[in-house]
Parts: sequence; C-alpha cells; structure tokens
Amino acid sequence: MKKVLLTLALVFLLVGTVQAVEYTAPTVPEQAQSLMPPTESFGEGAKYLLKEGIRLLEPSFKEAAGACLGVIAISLLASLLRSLPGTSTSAAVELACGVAIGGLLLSSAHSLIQLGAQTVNSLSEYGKLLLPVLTGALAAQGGITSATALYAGTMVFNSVLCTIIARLLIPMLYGSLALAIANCATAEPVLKQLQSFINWLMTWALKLIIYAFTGYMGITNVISGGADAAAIKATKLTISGMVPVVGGMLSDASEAVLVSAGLVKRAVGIYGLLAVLAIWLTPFLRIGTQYLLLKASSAISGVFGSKRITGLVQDFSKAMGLLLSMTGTICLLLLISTVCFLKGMG
Amino acid sequence: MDGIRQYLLTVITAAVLCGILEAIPAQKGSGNAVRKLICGLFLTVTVAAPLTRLDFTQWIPEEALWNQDGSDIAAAGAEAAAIERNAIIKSAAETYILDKAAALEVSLTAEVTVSEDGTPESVILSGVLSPYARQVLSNTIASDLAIAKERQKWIG
Repeated sequence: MKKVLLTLALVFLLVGTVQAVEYTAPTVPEQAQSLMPPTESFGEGAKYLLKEGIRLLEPSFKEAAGACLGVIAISLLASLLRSLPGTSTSAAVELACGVAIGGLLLSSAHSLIQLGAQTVNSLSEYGKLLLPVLTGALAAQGGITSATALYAGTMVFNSVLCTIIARLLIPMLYGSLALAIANCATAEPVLKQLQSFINWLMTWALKLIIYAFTGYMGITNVISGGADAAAIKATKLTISGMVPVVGGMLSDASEAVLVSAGLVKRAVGIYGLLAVLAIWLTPFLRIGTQYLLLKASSAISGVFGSKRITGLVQDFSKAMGLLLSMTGTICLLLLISTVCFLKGMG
Repeated sequence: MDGIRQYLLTVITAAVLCGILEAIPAQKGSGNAVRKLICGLFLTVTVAAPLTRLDFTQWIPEEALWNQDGSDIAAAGAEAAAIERNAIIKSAAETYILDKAAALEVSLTAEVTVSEDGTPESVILSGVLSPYARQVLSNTIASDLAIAKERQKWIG
C-alpha cells in the first residue's frame, strides 16, 4: 500500500512537470498591444484597462470637441442671421446651415464609421483565432460536445454579425445620415419617417442577433454540458471496474490532464477577454466621446438654434450611438462566448 | 465604399436641390403644394432606389465558415489530452515496476507500451535477475498492471 501511495505521489510530481496540453492565446493585434495589461489576473487587467481608458479620454475628447464647437458656432451664426431685422431669407439660412453642419459632421462621422467597421473586423478576426484555441482546451478538459457546439455557434454568429454589419448596417448608417441631412434641408416628414425606420431596423437587427446568440449559448450549455458530464461519468465507471493499480494510475493521470487543461483554458480565456476589451477600448472611447459631445451640442444648439438644425445634430448623435452598439455587440458576443468556454467543464 | 460615397452625394444633392426649390418664395395658387409633393417623391425615389438593387445572397457568410462545426478542433484537443495522459501513465507504470524491482534488490530497465485507452499493454524488461525475482516481478506486473505474462518481454 505504501508503495502504491509513493507511486501515486510520483505521478503527481510528474504532472507538475508535464504541460498537459500546450495551447497559447493568439497575440493581440498591433493597434491594441500598447493597451494589453501586463498581468494574468482578470481583475487587475480590467483595472489596468480602466486606467488606460481614463488616460485616453482626453485626446478623444479634444478630437470630438472640435467638430462639436463648429456645430455650435454655425447654429449661433444661423440664429444671428435669422434675428437680423428685415431678413426674408430664413429658409435659405436654414438650408445653408443644415448643409454646413451636415458636411462638418459627416467628415468626422465618416472617419468614426470607418474606425467602427475596422474594429468590428479586428474583433471578428481575433475571435476566429481565439475560439479554436479555447475549443481545443475545452475538448482536452473533457468537454468535447460542449466545445464543438460552442465553437460552431459562435463562429456562425460571429460571421453572420460581421457580414451584416459590414454589408448592411454600415451602408444603412450612411443612408440614415444622408436622410438626416436631406430632412434638415427640406423638412420632408417622409424622410424623417424613413430615417426613423432605418434606425429602428438597425437596432432591431443587433438586438435580434444578440438575443438569438445568448439563447443558443444557454441551450448549448445545458444540453452539451449534460452530455459531457455523462461521458465523464461513464469513463469513471469504466476506470472503477479496472485492476486497482491501473485504475488508480488512469484516474490520476486523467484528472491531472483535465486540471492542467482547465488551467490552460483559464489562462487563454482571461488573456482573450482582456485582448477583446483592449481592441475595443480605443474605438469605444473615440465614438463614445463623439456621441456624448454631440448630445451636449444638440442640447446647447437647442437653446438658440432652429428645430431642424438641432434635429440634425441629434440624428448624428443617434448614428454614433448605433455605431457604438455595433462595436459593442460584436465585443459582447466574443465576451459571452469566451465566458461560456471558461464555464464549460468548470 | 465608392458606392456609399456616390449614394450620399446623390441624396444630399437631391436634398439641397429640393431645399432650394422650396426656399423660393411661393407663387399664387396651389403650385406650392404640388412643388412640395414632387420634391417629396423625388427624394423618396432617390433614397429608396439603391434598396431595389440589394443582393441578399451576399449577406450569407462564406460556406467554409458556415459549415465549420469545430469537431476536428475538438478531436485534436481530446487527442492531445489523451497523448499526455498516456505519457503520464507510461511513466507511472515504469516507475511502479522499477520500484517493485528495487524492493527485490534487482536493477533493471522497463519500457511500457500504453494502449489508446490508457491501459498498460505490454512491457519490455531488461536486466539480470534471478528466476525467483523474475517470477515475483512477472506476477506483480500481471496482477497490478494487468499486463499478461505473454505480453511481458524479458531481455537478459
């Protein structure tokens, strides 16, 4: 008995030196490398990202403030021109100001939309590298059915969302902005309604995808998690029917590999979570700051500007909000799937 | 991207044109209402025209991505884990045999082969030992490690 115990202790000593499954997280893209926390703890990493986010807030704010100050200046000028005695060109002033504000905001919105599209693409591409690693690690941990189902679902939702954003929602966002400018210039109710419909459709599409994805993940976790648990129970039953020494060796070795694979999966998962957040942080701050400052500008221009001009600024802020939702949805999708992989098999 | 730029320019130009038309002071009669209606129709057609050219098939992700089920990746992960597990078992079984041999004050080397399911399958033992020690060790390997005597190869 003493010898058996000694042997088992040796097995555990061996396990310490053997890397059960060698999986490493894919390196974060170059543009987010400077934001990657130098830690393996998620809590510490999140704190680091928050600190970096606050540091990045100032340049983002300065960048967004330029366009917003321009909007306020044009609104103020329009208000002054309208208030001049004897002017009968109120509609022309309105039109000229609408086009000027539209042009001013469109150039900054265009660069932010491009940034948003690029972020969606970067996140999706990173996900395509990260998910196979997590799938392999989860399968090595004994969750073969869960890993297969989670991977299949995440990859499909990831590519569907990425395709829809790139080929449908981004063009629709431009369309919404064009309608906003057209509506400001002509005050046609049909344009406003069409724009509201486009915005609603974009929001609805994003919500539908994320609801469907979370539903799929929930169902998959229950069904495939049960299948994996049953498979592991069956293996344990087989081992228990073996010769004691062999059964003990097999049981300890399997346990050691599972624990080791779990540790690897956890490390890859945490790195992946932090990498996804690091990729998302800068675009989120730039778009988010623009969104907030446009909201503030519309409130300020509402004091002295016309309803049409205020409406146009509001429409641009809504567009930035939708862009935030798009990047946020793909980020959330990757975070949820990574957490599901981490939760699989404990 | 060129398509989007073209679309934006078209819609904005149309809107500016309509805005200029509407900004012209109204004439007598119902001309103003008709002008507004025509502008509205023109803008709606300009905005909605690209929608008729939408190709829904381009939204379907690439076939390779759509059909990926991850079973090959999961199988590779499970296989890697099995290889590592078998390496641990092989090492543990060899250590066990050497430990038993040391108890009999015998020096030998052991090379255990492990089957795919992780059970020790066969063993090659080399060393000089007495028939008694060989008999005891062979019995122990057969009973504890379930390696039948015919799958034990003795060298030396």
